[in-house]
Amino acid sequence: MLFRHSEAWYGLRDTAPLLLTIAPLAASFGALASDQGESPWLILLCSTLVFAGAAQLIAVGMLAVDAPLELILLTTLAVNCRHLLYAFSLIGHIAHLPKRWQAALAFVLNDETYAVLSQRPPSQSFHHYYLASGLAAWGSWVMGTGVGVLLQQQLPETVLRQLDIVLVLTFICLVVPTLHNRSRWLCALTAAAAISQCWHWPMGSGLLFSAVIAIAVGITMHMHNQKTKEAC
Amino acid sequence: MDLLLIMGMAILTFATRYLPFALSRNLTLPTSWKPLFGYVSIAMLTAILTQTALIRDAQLQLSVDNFMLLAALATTFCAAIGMPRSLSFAAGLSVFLLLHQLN
Repeated sequence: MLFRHSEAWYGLRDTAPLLLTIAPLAASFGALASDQGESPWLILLCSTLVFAGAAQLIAVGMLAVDAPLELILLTTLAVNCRHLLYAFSLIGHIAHLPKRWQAALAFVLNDETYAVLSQRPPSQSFHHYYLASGLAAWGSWVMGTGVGVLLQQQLPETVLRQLDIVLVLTFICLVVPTLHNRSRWLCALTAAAAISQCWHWPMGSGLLFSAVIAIAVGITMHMHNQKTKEAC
Repeated sequence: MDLLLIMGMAILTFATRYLPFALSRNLTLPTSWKPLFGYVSIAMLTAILTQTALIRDAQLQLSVDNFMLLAALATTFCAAIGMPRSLSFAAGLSVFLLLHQLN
């Protein structure tokens, strides 16, 4: 089979627009950590092994105020709790794979890859699609960090931040077409309303709380609708 | 930043991603749960995109001065009325660039 007709190719193709948002965020991390006097090799090692954007940026901020190691690790755990939800929802596609595949796929799980995976119908080669998407995101994250370390202050912060627009519009294009009933709309609206109230909560807890509340509201409405249908 | 911190962060991050996969063989989820997982992606992605669009300079910017919000609303409208993804994306991006030009 030609590569351009393979699931791996589709994974790369679908993830490509989102790399525009990953690289600038990574560059911000690289520049920020480098500006604080961290070793370029450790910064690159961190992005290569950890590969967790929000947690890494928060860790740099905490290191700047000499936060203890335990607190940084606890924060990392709290910020990354959303990955538990992602991984649970992917179990159906992953359970039959060998452990080494599961480990590789777990390593590259991130927000952007999950966004494209959630739109992909199940197939025999779903894991190829997943791995290609995840590796593209990981490569973009590591390279972006390298660029940030190299360029440091030369990167215009305002331009980097405006690139967030790509993430916002892409996620909308992924989410809105899936809102084909009231319970799904209610779930999305609840998430938006909740995060606008608790975005400032510490350690990313606002994000997790908003998502959990929205999932609960969506599922409750979904079950209510199912019961109503069965009763009719 | 030292090696211990990096290794600790790497292990914790990997653990949160791998744990459900590791349990997947021993965990049989009822098929009726399958549609419910769709709500995970809707909730999480909506929360992330809303936070990105509304929080600028560590402040909630729920005003017409927030061009990202206006662009997001344009894309949401286009996607909601059934326009193709590429056109919905282009519409939002056009609004964003146009507002920046006019400003």
